[in-house]
Amino acid sequence: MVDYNNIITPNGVEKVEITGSEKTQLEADRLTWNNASGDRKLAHIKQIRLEKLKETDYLANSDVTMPDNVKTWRQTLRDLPANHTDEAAYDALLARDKNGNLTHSVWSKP
Amino acid sequence: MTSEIKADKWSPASGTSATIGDSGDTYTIPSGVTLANSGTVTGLPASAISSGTIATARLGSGTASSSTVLFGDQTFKTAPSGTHVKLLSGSASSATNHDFQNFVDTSKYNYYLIQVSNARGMGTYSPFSFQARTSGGPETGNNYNFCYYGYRSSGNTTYNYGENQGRSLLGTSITGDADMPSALMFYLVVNPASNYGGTHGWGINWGWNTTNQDLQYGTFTYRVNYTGTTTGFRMYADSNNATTFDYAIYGIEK
Repeated sequence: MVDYNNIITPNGVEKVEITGSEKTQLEADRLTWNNASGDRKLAHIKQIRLEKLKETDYLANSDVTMPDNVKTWRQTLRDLPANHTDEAAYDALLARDKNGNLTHSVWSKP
Repeated sequence: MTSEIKADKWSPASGTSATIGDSGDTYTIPSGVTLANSGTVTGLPASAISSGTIATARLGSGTASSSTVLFGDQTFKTAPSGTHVKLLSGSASSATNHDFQNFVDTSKYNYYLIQVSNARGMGTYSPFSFQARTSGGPETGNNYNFCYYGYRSSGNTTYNYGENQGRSLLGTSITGDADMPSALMFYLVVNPASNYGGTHGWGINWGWNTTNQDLQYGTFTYRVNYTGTTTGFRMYADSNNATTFDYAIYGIEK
């Protein structure tokens, strides 16, 4: 893959191929980014999980009783990282329909 | 055949109107002749003035100079200052790094406004990164302090803070989907007089991720903790993917 630097100045634009140590560093950075793809998806899943848990936090108050099925669902959410460990599983959890709604059943509150 | 009429006064044969020659005729006033006018000439079209320069005193009152401009009330006034001056603009073709160079002129501008629109190709959730440039190249040392705060419409608020990294992030989770390109706008402040921290800025970005139906915005600030002479900046996608975008850089006059 050929990489370029665009040098943009008041005198015009020059396109210069990236070579040598800069190319080596670039390829290393790109590899690091690609390898972290799963981590980024997992971080997104954890953000969604946090929002879902917040929606039912009020049921933990002393003056209300949390239904057992909600307790089970909240525990399932907490166990998501342990029970989903590869990118294919992350993609399934993050899948959405055309309206932007999450489609995986785990996100649905009982 | 030549002839010459000599008379002290010429008047219409009758009434108060007269005509000189016919259409297509040319009358030549020789060099050195002075036309003295003690009355008012009317009906002379501006299009008939086709050479020479009209004195600025004929255009308006006030003093015309290199630092004044003529306003609509026909008055010469001091030229406005503090305006935005476009220094660079165009469409960046596909490249991994984009180096905006040699537009910084701290004798005229300390503040620069950078607009980026129609950005594509960065990859999902890959924000732009920023590095200050000197004439020798981008500053890659761990001399950047930055913080950003962003929101994603998928229901998740994100907050991030960066410290002592080799670049600053220009916002959060910006994307480059083909059907909804992302954009950002930020200030670059270059003030050599302040030495450390003399290069800093702040801005905002937005992006759309089709896969997740996710609209995002982010606000950010940054500071470069170095003593280099900033001559420009480098911008690249965090994924190191090739990117294209439209850009405009304005200097704000002191």
